[in-house]
Amino acid sequence: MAVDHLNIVERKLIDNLRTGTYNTAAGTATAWTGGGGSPPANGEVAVYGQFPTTDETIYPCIIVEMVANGIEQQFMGQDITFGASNTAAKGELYGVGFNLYLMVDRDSSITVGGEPYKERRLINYLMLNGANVLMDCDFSGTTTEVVERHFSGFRDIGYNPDLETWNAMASMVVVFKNNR
Amino acid sequence: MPGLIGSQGVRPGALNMNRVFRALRYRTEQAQKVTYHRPAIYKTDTYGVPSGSIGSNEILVPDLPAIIRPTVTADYQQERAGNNIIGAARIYTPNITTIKNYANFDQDNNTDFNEIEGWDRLITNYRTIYSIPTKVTGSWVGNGTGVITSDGESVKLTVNSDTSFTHTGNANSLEADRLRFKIRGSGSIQLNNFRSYNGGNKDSTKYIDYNNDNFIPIDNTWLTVDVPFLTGSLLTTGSSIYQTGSRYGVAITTGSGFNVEANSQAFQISFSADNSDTVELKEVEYYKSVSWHVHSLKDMTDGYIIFNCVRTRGRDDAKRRAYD
Repeated sequence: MAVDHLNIVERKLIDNLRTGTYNTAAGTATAWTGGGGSPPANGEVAVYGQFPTTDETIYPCIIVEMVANGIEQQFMGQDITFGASNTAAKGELYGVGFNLYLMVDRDSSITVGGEPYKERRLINYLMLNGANVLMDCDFSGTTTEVVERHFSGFRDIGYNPDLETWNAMASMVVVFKNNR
Repeated sequence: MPGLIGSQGVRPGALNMNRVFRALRYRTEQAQKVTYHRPAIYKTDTYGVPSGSIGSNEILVPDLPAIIRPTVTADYQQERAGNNIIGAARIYTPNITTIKNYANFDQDNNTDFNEIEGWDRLITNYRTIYSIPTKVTGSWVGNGTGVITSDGESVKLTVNSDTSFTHTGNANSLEADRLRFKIRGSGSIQLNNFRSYNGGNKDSTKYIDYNNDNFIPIDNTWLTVDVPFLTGSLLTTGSSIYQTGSRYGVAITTGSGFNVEANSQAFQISFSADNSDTVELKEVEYYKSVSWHVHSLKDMTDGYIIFNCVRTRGRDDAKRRAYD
């Protein structure tokens, strides 16, 4: 079967964001759960793989948008090994870039430590924990070997009065072995 | 006053706006009674972020006359870079003095209301999805031996050991996101709660329960109740019923078998009453709403107010049905 690394990486990234789980010294912790209810239940964050239609958007949400991909680094002769058994293959390091948008509306609220987090406090919570989730994204269990990930940090943080939402945006690059 | 007049052209002078609203409402759908909604305002913490402590309660008052002039009712383009405004409309309401003469907006009764401001919402009936018949008595039952009658518009139960009044009937209500009805009581009728049953065959688990702070509707006066018909975070925020400016909180809970996307199976009100008291219902409807958010005040005259409003969300019911 033809390789399908981009879809595998994209879906794993979305899956990780939906679980809201990151690593700690004691094991793992969960910042939120994947949502989809309208309106979402407390603690749910909807994660979309593309900008949802206007009628579908449920807040708070994270929108993952692939914005670029291409060859990161090519080896002489294209010979590579991958996996635990050093399977031989042809390929190169391939990078894929994502933009991630966090959006929170006025009604959004997640209870953290017994306190309702809203608006700016909620977007702050989602940014840091979103970064935690991205840093600890688990790409195991797939046929794609991820070798690097780069996270550029959140920017464009603020309130948009036209949308009535608090927003933040981050970029992320995932580099994997494009074995074939 | 050029600032107020702006580019309105020739001003029409003093208009009897209530008469205009009535005429348009009776003859067209351009004018309708909308529900004024100001979500609860939370106190802020010392860092300026809303906390969990409510500073002023939600205001949810139906029956505000308005003319809706949409520019775009629904824009279905895919969102790109946060382009999320999916509708825009100009909404006309009576002048503020007239509004404040409505009992629910009277500041002597409702101290939280001042005027319609930015980010307040005007909820309109986009389409009635299911209207429960009240012009006939069929399918309506009490749980006692009270007599049920209808005057062709409303259905009336004369209580005889009854504590509930129920309409049973299977009908699609998928697109609905609000539930509205008018209730009128006589004697000591006290509204305790109301329910909608949705999901397969009606059983005791398939309900959404609106448990209001118990109150006695004013004798022989129609009271409009208009609440959200959704699930999720509403279970914690609840809703409101206003009568002459007094708020009665409505806690919303659902049974384990409730499915908001399933057909409506029954609508029920529960009450306390003495025998021979009467309770009447009419205009019981599940409807799809559009929530217009006030973004700017275009003009405020002694005749009318014009608000520029936007709609920032909605739902795609075709997909909702398909994905269900």
